Amino acid sequence: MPIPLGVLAVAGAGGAALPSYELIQSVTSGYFQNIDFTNLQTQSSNYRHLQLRGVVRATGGDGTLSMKINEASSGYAYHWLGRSEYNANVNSSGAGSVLSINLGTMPQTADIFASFVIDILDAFSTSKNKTVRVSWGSTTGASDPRAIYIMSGLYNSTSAITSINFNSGNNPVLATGTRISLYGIRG
Amino acid sequence: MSSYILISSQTLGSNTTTVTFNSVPTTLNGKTLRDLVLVIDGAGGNGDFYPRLRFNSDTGTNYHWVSAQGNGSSASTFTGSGENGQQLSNGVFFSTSQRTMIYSQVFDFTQTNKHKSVLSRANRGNQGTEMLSGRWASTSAITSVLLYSGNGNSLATGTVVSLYGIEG
Repeated sequence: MPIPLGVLAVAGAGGAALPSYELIQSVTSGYFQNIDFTNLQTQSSNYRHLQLRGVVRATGGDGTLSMKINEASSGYAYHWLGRSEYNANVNSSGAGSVLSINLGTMPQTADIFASFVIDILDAFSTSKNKTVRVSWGSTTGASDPRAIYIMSGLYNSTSAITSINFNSGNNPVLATGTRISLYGIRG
Repeated sequence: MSSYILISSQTLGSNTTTVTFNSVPTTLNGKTLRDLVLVIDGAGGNGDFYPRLRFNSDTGTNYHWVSAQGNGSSASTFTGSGENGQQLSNGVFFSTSQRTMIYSQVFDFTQTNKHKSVLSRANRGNQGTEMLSGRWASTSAITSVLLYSGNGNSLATGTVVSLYGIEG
């Protein structure tokens, strides 16, 4: 049976294969409004999918964490399912100039952070629109907002991803302790 | 070396009421760990097993959660506050009759400037699926993780409990 060329290339190159799941960059916020991951085209030959993991808290006002891909200001759509801080049962959708990662606001109480995982599938494909899936959880006090939901997002473009930008809204900033890490996944 | 690293895995040789991971490392294979992932694949031993965690043996009323679940006929949400253990699921639990899988993530487990956030997913074929967000109201770094049942029951022989660390 012939050996696939890809296997020969990895096994015969004499170097170690790249890990299947690897940290690319981790950013911690000290009072920033934005967290940016740029020059991602340099990762296109290494990885197929991207994952973002993080904890976030806002300070200075109510803030919604939004995300842009390739600095585009259009072409986003999303659906949520779960429980929001305002509604015991959420089954809603939206579209617009950003991907709204959380429904409602980020925690503002000291020491309390929302957590999330974002997967972007086939991030560097130039033949597919980009699919984003989000898990979000926020558990504050007994009488304060608590939320758990999943979100499916679309960036309606076949362009390879070159940058990802997170923004906290107009007035608030991302509080100290906020952290977002970017990982590459081979495929 | 991968950024997603197995810390320890236990395959239960008999019905077991508690599984403990002590001295959780902060670095492994030269990587500084940021998040933990706990995977439980198995069944209840002597009855239904309602999975909960305690961090650092803390039995105080410091655990909070919110969950959403579906069972094929209805969707529901639940909350809990000031409990003495961290629920990983509320309505989807380990039964003696069919296997259940739970995948739980603990964020920033070494950080001392924030409470510890948990995202958990529970899945059982004949019962439903559930997602849960939890919070341990402590800024202490997590050094140990105890898995137990809210009703004292056991996990069955053959259940696999694995703890992973993620670099970040």
